[in-house]
Amino acid sequence: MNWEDSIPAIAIAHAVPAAEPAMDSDQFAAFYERTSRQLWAYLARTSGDPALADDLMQESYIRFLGAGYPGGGDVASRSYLFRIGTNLLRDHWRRKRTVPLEDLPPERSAARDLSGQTESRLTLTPALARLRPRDRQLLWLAHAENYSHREIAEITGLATPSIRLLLFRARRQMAKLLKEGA
Amino acid sequence: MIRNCSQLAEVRQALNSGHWPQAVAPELRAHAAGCNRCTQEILITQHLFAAKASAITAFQTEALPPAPALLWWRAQLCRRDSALAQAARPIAAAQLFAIAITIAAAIGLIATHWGSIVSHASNIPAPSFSASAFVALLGNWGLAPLVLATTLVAALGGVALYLSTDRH
Repeated sequence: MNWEDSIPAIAIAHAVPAAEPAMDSDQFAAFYERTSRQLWAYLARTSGDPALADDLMQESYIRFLGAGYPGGGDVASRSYLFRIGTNLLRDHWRRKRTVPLEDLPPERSAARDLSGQTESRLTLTPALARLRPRDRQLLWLAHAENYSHREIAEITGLATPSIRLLLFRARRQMAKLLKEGA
Repeated sequence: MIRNCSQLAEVRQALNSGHWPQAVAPELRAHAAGCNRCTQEILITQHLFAAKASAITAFQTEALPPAPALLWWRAQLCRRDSALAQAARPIAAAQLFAIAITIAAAIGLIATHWGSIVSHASNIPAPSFSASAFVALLGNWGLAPLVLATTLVAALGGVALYLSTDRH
């Protein structure tokens, strides 16, 4: 007996031709192996919440598979995955409060980090914690992931010309914070 | 003012390849020491690289990532569910259409035979208190209570159908 037969909904769904999946199981396992650490690090470091990063990472992969293959090879798939993760993170922040992302005070989004010492390895560094969430995202994508301005614009949904200015400001602020910390 | 440095690309490449600072030319290091933009780049990139490395270590040692096979299986379930919902949509529409036709036919039938219904009800003997009261009510209000009741049933039927779908 096939395991799928034990779940009626799945058995019925066999009759319904679904769209082709983005990848087969083995391809996805290899892609997951190549990208999961980076995606989790991005989500954990920009949100300051490892548990949230766990949830959003899972949801990102499920949506990635459900959306179909974006084309453009591994690089495009990876930035598409980061785009999904960024959108999920933004949705999470928006659900929690109604003010725009750029107006969020940094200490609120990082509140969970500053409270505990035990998760210090998983949470934000003091300099990152004092930045606005969007600035953290931009700096992470530009410096830790080495994405170009155009790729960052695609991932964050911002206009390419404004990335340069936003990154300039975020970089200046972070450098100041790091120097103060040092 | 946003200013870029002509040697920033070189510094960035050295940072990304892990060659900074040991495996770069002394001239580049000397330049970076005196260049505000390059100093900023080095400071931030090294800080974020360290943060990324510690996060990756934490992911490997402390986080509980799901197996990729499980995620793939869950994604397939979601795809099948959405495909199933898409396929079931015309069936639900047909059911609604059938209900609407039935209700319209019932109303039409009652409307065409209304006269005979009223005369038949009025011929019922006196002890049937409720029937005579109903006839009196219909005589005063016409078809209004019937239409109201039918509308109510149709509306409740729609709500029941909506709530009985899988999604709810």
